[in-house]
Amino acid sequence: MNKYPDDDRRLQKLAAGQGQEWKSLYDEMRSPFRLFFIKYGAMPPEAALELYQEAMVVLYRNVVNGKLQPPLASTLKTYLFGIGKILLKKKDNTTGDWGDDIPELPVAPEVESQQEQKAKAELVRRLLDKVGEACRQVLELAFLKGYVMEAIAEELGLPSAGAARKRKHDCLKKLRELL
Amino acid sequence: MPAEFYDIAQIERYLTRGMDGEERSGFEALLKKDDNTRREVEAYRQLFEGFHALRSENFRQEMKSWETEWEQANTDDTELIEWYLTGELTGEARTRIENRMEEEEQFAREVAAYRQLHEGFTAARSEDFRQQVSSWEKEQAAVRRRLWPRLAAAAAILLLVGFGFRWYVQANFSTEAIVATYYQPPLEGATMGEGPLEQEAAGRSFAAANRLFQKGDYPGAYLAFDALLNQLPDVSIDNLTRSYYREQSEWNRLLSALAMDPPPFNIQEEARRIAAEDGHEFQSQAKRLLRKLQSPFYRLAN
Repeated sequence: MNKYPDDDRRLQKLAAGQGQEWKSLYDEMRSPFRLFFIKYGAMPPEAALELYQEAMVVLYRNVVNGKLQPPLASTLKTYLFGIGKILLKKKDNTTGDWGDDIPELPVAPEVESQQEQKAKAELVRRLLDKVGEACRQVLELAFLKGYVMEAIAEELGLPSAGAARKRKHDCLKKLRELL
Repeated sequence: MPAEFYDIAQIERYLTRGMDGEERSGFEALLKKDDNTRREVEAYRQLFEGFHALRSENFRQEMKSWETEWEQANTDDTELIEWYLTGELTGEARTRIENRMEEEEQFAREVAAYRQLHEGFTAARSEDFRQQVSSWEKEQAAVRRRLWPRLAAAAAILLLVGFGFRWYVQANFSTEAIVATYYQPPLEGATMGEGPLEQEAAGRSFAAANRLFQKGDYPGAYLAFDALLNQLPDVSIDNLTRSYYREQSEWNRLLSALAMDPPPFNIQEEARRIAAEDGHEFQSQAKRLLRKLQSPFYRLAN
């Protein structure tokens, strides 16, 4: 049974990578997140904003790669604030004076270091520079913009979704060979 | 390992959470025993994780553009000052703001300006509320004023209806009204007082009883009609005249008794007897009288 049907619906839209939906979430959560971490995390306002952006990136990653899926065990807000708490703990090894506003999350969000993320991204960026324009296009549409095969076919003028899928796999293999 | 020997779609499904159940456990069993497949999966894992990381970086860039909008709006300090003024910030967070006020003159001026606004808004809200309370009071008074004529009219109508109803009940169902309505004075020239002596005497008694009735002396009239009725069987008169006097006297005795308090006999029983007597001159009147006596309006009027 869905405990948070509105948030589940929102999560589905976010998972589809809809930019406007993410912006709307960003604008909506910014102030409450800042206040919460300035108030309970005793953070300077600038640091609270940095933490917010970091938490949003982690949320984004967990949503688009399918780690966070409906039905949600907490609201998206609670999940996002939970990520903030974990990030802050990792950073300062602090326990924070959280009160009961944000309960412990039933499913801990996966949080990786920014450095680790940068290295992984850099590897793929270099390979994409080498794989050729045609492959770069299809791989970017599929893996960076989250397009479905039908949309890729339309965008690149391919005859069908099957043709787009085949090109994607061919290009992925090329990338693999470049490793 | 040549690409023809492994299924890239299968690896993608495995790495992107598109594989579960038996397929996943079967694939994991293959990974355990096949070094080449495992190597390929790890290579592709790097690629997929790289794509995810790159996508996150793109998202971070996008966030920067959103953040530019916030910077242009320049509302962060305003928000901070608002939280400070509304008491949202406590402890270290509050101290930090107060320290900043000491260090930054411009910030202190901003806080002072917003404090004025905040207090102004609070006062305005209180003033608004006071006015609101006052307008509610006025509205209530106006409602009461507007309601008064309507209430008065409604009361007048109710009184009129009440009086009208009372009048109707009294006019139609009070004992006095019934007696007056149902009394039938003797026909002129039909007292049958002329003729033999006994007949004349009966005629005079009948006329005397009616006079008592008409004067409102109902006990007297009752006794007079009753006496006449007792005499009639022995009076030497023709049957037609006897019937006339008997029926008239029975009816008028009944009405006289009805007008008395308490009646000397059971009115309804006597009315039922007359109503049941075929050919009795007052049979139909007796039936109507019975209906009136049994009406709730009769009980209401008396």
